[in-house]
Amino acid sequence: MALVSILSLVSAFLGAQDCPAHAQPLWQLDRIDGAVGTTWISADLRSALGIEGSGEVLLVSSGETNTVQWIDDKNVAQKIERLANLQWPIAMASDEEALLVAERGAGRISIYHGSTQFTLGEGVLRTPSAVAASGTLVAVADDGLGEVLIFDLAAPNNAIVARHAGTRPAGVAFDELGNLWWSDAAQHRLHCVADLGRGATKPFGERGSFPGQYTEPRALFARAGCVFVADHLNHRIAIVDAKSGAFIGYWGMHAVVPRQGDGRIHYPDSIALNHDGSIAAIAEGFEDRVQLFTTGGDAWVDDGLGSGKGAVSSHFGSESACGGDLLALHEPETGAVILFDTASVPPYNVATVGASGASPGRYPSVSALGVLPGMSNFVIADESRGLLDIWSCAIDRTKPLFWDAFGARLMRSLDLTKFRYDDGSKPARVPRIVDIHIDSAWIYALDAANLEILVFTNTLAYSLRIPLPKDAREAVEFCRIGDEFVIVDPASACLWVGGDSRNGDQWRKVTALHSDDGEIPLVRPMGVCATASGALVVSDSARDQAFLCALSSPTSTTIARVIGERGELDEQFWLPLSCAPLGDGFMVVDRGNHRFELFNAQGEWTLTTSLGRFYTRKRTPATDTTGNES
Amino acid sequence: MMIPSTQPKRNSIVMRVLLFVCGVGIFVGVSHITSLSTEKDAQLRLTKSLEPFATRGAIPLDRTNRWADDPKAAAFGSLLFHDLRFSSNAAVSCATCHDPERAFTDGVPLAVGVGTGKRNTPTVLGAARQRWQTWDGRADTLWSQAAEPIEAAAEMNFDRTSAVQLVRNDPTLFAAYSAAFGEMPLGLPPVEFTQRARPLRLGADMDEASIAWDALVPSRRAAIDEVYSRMVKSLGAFQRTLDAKASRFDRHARGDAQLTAAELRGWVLFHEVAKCDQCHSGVEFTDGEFHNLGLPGADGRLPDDSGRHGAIPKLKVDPYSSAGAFSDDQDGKQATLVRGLKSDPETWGQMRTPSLRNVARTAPYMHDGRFATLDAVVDFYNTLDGAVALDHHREAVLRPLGLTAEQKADLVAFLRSLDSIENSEPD
Amino acid sequence: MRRVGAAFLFAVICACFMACDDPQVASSDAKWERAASADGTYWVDWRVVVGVIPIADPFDVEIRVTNYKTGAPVNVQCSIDAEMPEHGHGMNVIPNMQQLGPGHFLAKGMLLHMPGRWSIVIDATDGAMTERAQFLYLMP
Repeated sequence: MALVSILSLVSAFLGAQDCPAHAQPLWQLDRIDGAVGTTWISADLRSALGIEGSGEVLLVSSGETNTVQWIDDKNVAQKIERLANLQWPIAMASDEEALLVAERGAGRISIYHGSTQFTLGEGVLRTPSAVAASGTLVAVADDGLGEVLIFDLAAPNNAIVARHAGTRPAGVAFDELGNLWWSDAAQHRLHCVADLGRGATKPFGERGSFPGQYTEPRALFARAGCVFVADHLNHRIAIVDAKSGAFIGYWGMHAVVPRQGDGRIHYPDSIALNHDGSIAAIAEGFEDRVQLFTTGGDAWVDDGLGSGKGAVSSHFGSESACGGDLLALHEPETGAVILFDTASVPPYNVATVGASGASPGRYPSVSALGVLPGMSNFVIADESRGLLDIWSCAIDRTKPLFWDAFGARLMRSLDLTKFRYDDGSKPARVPRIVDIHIDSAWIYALDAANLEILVFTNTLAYSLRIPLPKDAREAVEFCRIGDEFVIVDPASACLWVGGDSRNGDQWRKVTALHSDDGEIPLVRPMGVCATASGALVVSDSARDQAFLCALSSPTSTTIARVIGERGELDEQFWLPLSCAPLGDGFMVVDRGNHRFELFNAQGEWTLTTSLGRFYTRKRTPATDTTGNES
Repeated sequence: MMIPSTQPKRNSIVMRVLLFVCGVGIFVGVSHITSLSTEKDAQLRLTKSLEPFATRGAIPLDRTNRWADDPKAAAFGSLLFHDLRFSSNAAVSCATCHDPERAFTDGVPLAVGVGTGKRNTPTVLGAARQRWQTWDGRADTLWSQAAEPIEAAAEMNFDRTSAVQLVRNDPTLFAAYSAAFGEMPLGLPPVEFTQRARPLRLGADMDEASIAWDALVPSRRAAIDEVYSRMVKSLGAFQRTLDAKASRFDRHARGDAQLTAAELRGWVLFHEVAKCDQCHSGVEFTDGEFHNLGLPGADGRLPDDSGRHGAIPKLKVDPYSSAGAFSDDQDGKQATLVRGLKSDPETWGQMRTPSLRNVARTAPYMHDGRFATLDAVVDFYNTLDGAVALDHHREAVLRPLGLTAEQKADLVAFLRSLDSIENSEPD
Repeated sequence: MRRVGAAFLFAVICACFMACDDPQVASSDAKWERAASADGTYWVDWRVVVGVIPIADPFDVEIRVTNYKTGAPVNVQCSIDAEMPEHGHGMNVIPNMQQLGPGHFLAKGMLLHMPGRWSIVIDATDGAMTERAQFLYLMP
């Protein structure tokens, strides 16, 4: 009894007595392109990495420039030269002696320990998303494998001593109570694993926006009995008691206008607290910036700037599909699929599924959309529940268009957790469908978990599978041109272009597009589609550009037109992602500006729109106060 | 009527004028008829809307409580309801917060028992007609609701073991118990046993009383639970006698009384314009279910009361629920509902739609008593100012009403007409 | 002799079982509603067990799922739900499904708690594949 009491006292002492339920904005650093990882390093580690000066500094990793930078006392970001040749450094962790960098593009963890450097996980990891260390244990979240792996650097060959399966693990952290915490961004929950990740697991949380709920929790950071969660789609930092898993509070004041900042958080990717927990650094890759907060204090009172004019009403996500007159887009925050009639200018919202429309809560994590051309049917894949659903959306053109809550009807649903190949065998992992392409006969589903294309009939009867190339590590979007597929692999910074074959060797790797001025290497390709005439369109989110390629057979990667530049006006992008053919032309989801833009067959801009607003007269810096507004 | 073009011009002018006059006359006539017809339609709609209230039924049976309508159990329950000794400071009874002089509420924002609670005291009047009890619906029968406040730290801070011992040792209480239930079950602790003991509540920390409960042998715990269940069933039986009786609105529907013009306008606003009866529906003015209005937390902070979301897990393990071991109808309709309750993230912060009967007597309003007057409540619904969307909240029932000051006054007048004629305790 | 008697009794009992249909739900004067499932694989019929659907009061529903072409009962799993798409919410309860026979079900504990337009959806599941039949219901 006495021992229990003492242990209770000790853990209470280590517990959440000082977890900061609030924080106050301190400053922000803009123009750190693709800022995704943050960690504070001690003076000793700073010296080992060759950074001048003394004292703790903040490191920020950039997924777009493939660099790690440190912030000096003038709040300027300077590159760390020693950390060269990194491939998509997506997350970092550190202790007194070592810096660990998760390189998503290389499928490995690079560890900088004193003057030595070595790697971990090559040949094992696919697309690491987070890393944490405790003693000789290194925990890695890998969303491509759908697993959290615990390596022991003291074991022979850095053996893996534990593995935990999830859907899309996104964050890991060791707390001081001897637990490993990891987040599953698709299941919207946290897991606490005892014995530093080798013991029993307890889940916490569910999808939502209320206290104790998460919507795509990503990076985690643990300190002094508190676990901090970068709650990506709730636009805030949640704080959890490491001892009990109980929710303590959250801060961040959701930004409602892109670029808002000043303490308003927008899609946080990572969080790290400094040595004494007084300062929190939050990276927002979406905004290309880092914001710092001083922890503690009172709840921030809304100053009224968070709503009203300029506030965004549509948070389009990274999924899109178009066919015939129907365009489907996705809103990750609400889990809604929004259907537009593209015969109207601008495209008219005719139905919504999954949020305010039919079947609320059915889709905790939409991962892909498809439209059956000419049938007014569309397909939704959800990676959280493992569903592949066919819906119908009939638009009655004899009447004026209106938003109809009953306009979309679920027809048929395939439970991917029960899916079997035609020989009755199970896939190695539950398929995670990330894109859908549909032609007149078949539904092609891109499975990022097993890296293959599943082919179904238009009633979801399984037909066959087409493996992706052996070297492919990630697949986010694809299209079909003639007999060839074109698949976007951002982790490999390339496209895979291949024939309709079951033989994985029939693919060619495209790492750059060709133009008259030379090669344009792909940095972070995220979207691809084929226009009605068979031209390839590729978007690159790091370049903030889209590229229309020339018509040719086989699939041409010669650029016919470079589209866009970074910005917020028309024919500009801030994080272009998915694209889809629309009419003779195509559309690109400009996620960073919460809108989508339409282009004609020649790649000329025609319209910019989000729900409730559109422009058909192009705004430029000289003319940005004019233009048509609905 | 076609006018041939060969008609002389003068005649065509006359004809056109005549046509015009006829047309105007027809228009005026049709408008008048249409207007009469619109008025008649409105009258018909009004009459029809009142029909259900003319035939409001009796309190439904409660099969989960075999003593629900037993007068001896109700008499015992009445004694318990008013007895201050069932609290740790011997100063709080059910009637302390559910004050018979105040329509069985207490007139303060948050209930004050041994401590101060987190929620406003709802009325007992008519509670027997509800499916779920308390703001978060953590009890699904009238009798099982009573089990929690007796043991809740901020309410009566008592324990079931002490409650049972009190009944055994008090001649009046014992006599009333015996009259209703006969002998006590075997296995109870000795009458001299004075230790506080009660089970650990879901989510609570262990304390002396829960440790003492675990130390009791199972047969003793079972006997205490049995007596306690009869005590709360008696409280249930007593509360069933506290109905929200017919109001002037009901009597108007029956033809026994006349509402004022303002009250009738208020009803039309309630029913057709503001559509309050989307949630405050039926003859009890409640759909009996749960909604989140987006009310902000105290002092403008973010909301922190999980409402229905926190209650559902408790209900599912409650041995006193309609599906639990002490229910007399464990396979009935209510039990089926409880077993099927959906544990949905969307239920966070949802509170039960209260009945509006006697609403004018049960100020202040909302789950935390934040609105002192009915005018303040109507103002909130009218503009939804300050409502917190907490991002991406999905249910979309409420819209700002945009009522004028006169309309708001009419609405409040209607709500006042829902007052019961009598709401005093029976003998 | 005893064995012959037992066998005879056994045969009689078997014959009774073979002659019996699925247990009938309490007879109801509620009419059946019918719709084809989305891709026309099944007919889905349902009716309220007693009377009409009450507002904010639990009720039970009898469901039959048959093959669209042949009309024969099909061996599927079945679930029923209801939602109000205009409000963005569904029922607050999951009805208890009892299987009465092949393609024959009783859903106990449905609850439509608000007036307005509800969509009642019945899903027939065979292995990994589900087809939905949908019915519009206006709660007055």
